[in-house]
Amino acid sequence: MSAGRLERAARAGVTLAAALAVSGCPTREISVTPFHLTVDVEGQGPLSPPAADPPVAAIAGAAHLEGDATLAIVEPGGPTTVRIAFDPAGRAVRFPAALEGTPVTAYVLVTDQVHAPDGTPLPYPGLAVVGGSAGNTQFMLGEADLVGPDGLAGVPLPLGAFSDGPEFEVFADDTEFEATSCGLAYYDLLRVFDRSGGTAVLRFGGQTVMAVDAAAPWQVLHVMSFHRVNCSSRTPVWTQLAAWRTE
Amino acid sequence: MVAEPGAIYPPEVRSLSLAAVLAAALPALATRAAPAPATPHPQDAKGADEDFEPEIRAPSLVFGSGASGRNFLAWADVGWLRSGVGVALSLSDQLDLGLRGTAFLLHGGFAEQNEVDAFLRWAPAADVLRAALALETGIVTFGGSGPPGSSFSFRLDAAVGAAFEGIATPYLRGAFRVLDFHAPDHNGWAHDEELGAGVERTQGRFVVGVEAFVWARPELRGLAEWRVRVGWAP
Repeated sequence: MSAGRLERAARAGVTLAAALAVSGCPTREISVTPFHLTVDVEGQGPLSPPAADPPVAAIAGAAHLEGDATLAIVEPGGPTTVRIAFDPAGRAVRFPAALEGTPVTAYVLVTDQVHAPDGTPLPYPGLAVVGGSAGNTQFMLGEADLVGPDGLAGVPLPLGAFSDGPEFEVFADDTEFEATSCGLAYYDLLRVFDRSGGTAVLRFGGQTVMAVDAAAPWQVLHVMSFHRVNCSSRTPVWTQLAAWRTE
Repeated sequence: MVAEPGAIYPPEVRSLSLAAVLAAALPALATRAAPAPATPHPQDAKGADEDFEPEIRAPSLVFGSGASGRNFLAWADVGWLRSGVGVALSLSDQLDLGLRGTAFLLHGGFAEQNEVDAFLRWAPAADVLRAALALETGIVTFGGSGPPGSSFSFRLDAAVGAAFEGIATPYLRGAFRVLDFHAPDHNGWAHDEELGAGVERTQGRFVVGVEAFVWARPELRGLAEWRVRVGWAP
């Protein structure tokens, strides 16, 4: 090979390597918008963790809907109001209208161990609201980076703690993924149990309507679940879901 | 004949796009890769023997090596996301039987998706036109410690191109793959597709190629992919 050709080959190789290094290895991050549940006690600030195990706080009182995503609970025997709110982020998640004016109990998981995938603390990763005219479970919401025994995301308490709502399980089929800047992130699936043997499987963004008992059926939304492979510097798992009684 | 890069792709064009840079690199790479064989292959000694009827098909990474008089082809790919190696044996001038393995080498080494496939490729030709249809089956492992761990894959890969003797073989390629998934009460088949274009050039016993394609997945945005390929047909 002549010196000129060798030089041209070397130049082409360097150009090719530089071009591929700059633009040829694209990664894509999974976009997550948490509900960012907040629980504020009027005049006191954010709800503190209870001394219970699991750390679930029970807030009882009369419900007043201040919006689709804001529930005020006026505790009996005093003027204290607790406001529970979340960010629906354009999703059709809302507190059931049937809660308005009825006695309710909200069960809130309070912890400092749960974070969003971007590292933001999520002090209230789980919520269930019992109430309405039938006094049954009406609303569930959960989001967490808790790792379950199978290495996938665990659904946070108090979801699953009530006998009249659906149960949930995250599982993997490894068919959909993103090549992120830290390993592969596989989109996982959510299996929903109706407690009588029936199940539904939801991919991310999937919804279903499921009858669990004789009362109004449930609308279930699987926002997203994923697990990472070959990444040790970021949260390894995530799940986010909501369920509420239809009218 | 080896074409000068500038004769096909002027310098001002080469600087405009990644695709042009890739294409321009081919002739130089081919020239660099070409050895000086101690014993000329009949194809290499074209014109030396008056009685010899040379084959018109050069060995190809995409269209096989059967009609080139070479019965074996080995190659290595470096790409995003997949890199890999493979070998193919010619069963006839239109049929290849091969084995290939890939990994997400540049993204995660061997800790992510690894795939091994066997394939049968049919590659007819007419004048400058080339076509190839390959049926592949294999297994994919997904990395990590959780279920399901691996899947069977079946893949149909098709390509059409035009071989310009002594210059290059541009081609279009498409692929359709199905993968089984299996979990309790959740079994079935997922699928994905590839659609892209590439060009390869043969120089003696060596073949070099570049290809850009989109890896399309249902429900997800496609992945922009590329690979640089080097093959050897002894």
